[in-house]
Amino acid sequence: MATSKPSKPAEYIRAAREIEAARASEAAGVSGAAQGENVATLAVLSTFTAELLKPFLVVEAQWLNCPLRPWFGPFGQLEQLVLDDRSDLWKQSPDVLWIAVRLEDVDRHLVHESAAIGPEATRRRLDAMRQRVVGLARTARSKHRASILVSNWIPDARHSLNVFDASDVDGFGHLVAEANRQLARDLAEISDAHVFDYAGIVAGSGALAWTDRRLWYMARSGSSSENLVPLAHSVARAVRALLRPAAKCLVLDLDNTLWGGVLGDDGAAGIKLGDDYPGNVFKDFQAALLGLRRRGLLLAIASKNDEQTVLDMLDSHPEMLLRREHFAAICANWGAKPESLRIIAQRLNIGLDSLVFLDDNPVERAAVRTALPMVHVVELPAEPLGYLAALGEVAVFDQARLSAEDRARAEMYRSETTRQQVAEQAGNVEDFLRDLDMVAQVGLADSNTLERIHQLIQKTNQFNLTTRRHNLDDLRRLAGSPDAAVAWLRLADRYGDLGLVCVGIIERLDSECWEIDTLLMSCRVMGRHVEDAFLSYLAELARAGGARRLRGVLRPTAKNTPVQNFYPDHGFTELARDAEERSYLAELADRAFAWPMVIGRIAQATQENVRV
Amino acid sequence: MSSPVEQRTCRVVAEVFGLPVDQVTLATSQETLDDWDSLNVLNVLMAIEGEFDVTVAPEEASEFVSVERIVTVLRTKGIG
Repeated sequence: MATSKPSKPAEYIRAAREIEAARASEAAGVSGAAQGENVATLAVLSTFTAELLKPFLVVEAQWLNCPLRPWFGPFGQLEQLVLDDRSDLWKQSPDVLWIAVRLEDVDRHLVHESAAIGPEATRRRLDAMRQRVVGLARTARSKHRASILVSNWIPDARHSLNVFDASDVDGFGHLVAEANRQLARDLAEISDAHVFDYAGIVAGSGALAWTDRRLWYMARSGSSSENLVPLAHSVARAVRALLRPAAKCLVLDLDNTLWGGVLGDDGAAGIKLGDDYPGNVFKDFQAALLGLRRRGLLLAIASKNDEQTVLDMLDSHPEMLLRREHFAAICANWGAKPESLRIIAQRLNIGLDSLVFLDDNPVERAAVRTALPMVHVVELPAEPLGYLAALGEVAVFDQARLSAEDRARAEMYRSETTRQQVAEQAGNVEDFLRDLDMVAQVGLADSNTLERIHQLIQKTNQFNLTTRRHNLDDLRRLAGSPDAAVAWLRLADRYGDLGLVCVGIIERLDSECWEIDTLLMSCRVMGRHVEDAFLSYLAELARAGGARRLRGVLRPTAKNTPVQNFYPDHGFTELARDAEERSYLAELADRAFAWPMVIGRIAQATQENVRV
Repeated sequence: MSSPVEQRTCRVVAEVFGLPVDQVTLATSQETLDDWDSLNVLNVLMAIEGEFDVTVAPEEASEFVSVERIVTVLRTKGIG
């Protein structure tokens, strides 16, 4: 791996590719089952374009010594993947599952509507979103041993709230904070499920600078390109904390680390420690170290000093916050520091790999790094003002709360029978789809819809049977022709409006047969039977045009593999195929292509039946 | 001989797609690279912005269909 961390997006992409290539060649070059064992899999289910994080995640995790292979579920498909035992998600056998649902995606106008609908209705909508992710976490827990991270929420990073929002006890910021707290309570009930503090990361980076409006509106990106780094870094830290043991003991130097100056030269009265600069910098640093100790980290001293001088300082200096009793081991002598670290590890009966070494002197750090590469050495900045921040960056201190049951669970899941038993208790995909309360509206292109239809035709690659890029003039001509129809489908569900998601064009071939020239769907609604509903509507239109048969065309591309069996799967018979095109035929009996049960249907709004 | 801005653009595109730099030319486009999808357009966009220290508007990003068109967009921004 390179010696310095990348800074630009292209460098991350290149560095991630190098890491992945090294893994691949290592796996190919060495035989045996040991290969690839230490690369963990993170599965990401998101309501935004999380794939942009991939190179950043790979690199940041590698820098934390927690090699990671991120896998991304198709955008917006959360329930489908979690509920289905045989889904691609579970095939990954993830070590960690990150459920990243943003308020700005699933209820994106709530921030503006809150004041009008009042706190109770706002709470209900926040509750619906929270119950959704908690339900996902619970189902995931019943199916798999993966650790679970669930993002919490921010009001909306794209603009600031009303200046007096916080003054209102039912202000939107407070309601979101309440939802976050309830999320923490809910997840505490699910073993090895944890809040991923998205709100904290956004606040830390600056909410107003968090997003890039271009990337947001063009691509539903999670953040600006600069902020992909801190976001990926935090995810990698959370993953590392869940998968790797935390450090057990922090070994501290004294002079110019816990206080300013040199005790042996300056004397206890001459060192800098107290409530004024620069003593206050060291005093605050000691307070932070004491805080770490209260969270279970052992503290120890490795100092080149006379032992009695050190003990006197610890016992009697009035400004010291750290006292003799706070240290599990004190090694004050004139020997080499690596030797002191060995003694400390031995005395505490812990491995050297669970020690963290903190020293202001780069020469000492290098000595420890060379002699004891398994010890984690903190890279302290030259300036004491930066110590506190450096301490906050030590990822090996991170520890998720794991119960004994959590640790035992890994064993439990070895048994496949257990897995099957719990799977039976969980819900299934059809139940989920029914509970979504999907409602579709279908209709023919008019001046209101033509722009969106054209846009979908230009950009849809995956769920697109023919990938014909008709231009606006073509579309107007087809929409106006009595021998063709340009049709659309809009979808809404209990979580909100998904907009116009399907486009189809059918054309008359002869008096009895119509052809599906174009059939495409936005991939965010895949796996919901929406395409069945839309095909049903196209069949209806063809029937109304006198058709008795419907011809389907598939033009395979590198990108439309998900739909290459669409026509056979829907009861069409293959007529012909060559490299570029396959054609299919289906009889249009009265009940052929039924509208799916799980999707409601409302009539086309009557405001405009005028063709363009 | 191609200009410096063309060379730098080719190099950035090669980095994003993981190709040897000599395999990327002005003619490289969404038609010649299967991986040139909407996600990678964003990766190219971010990489180009980082490389040339420019901001690309959404309307300009929709021009990112080939190396040549990217260079054209950069020229309108006074680069090259």
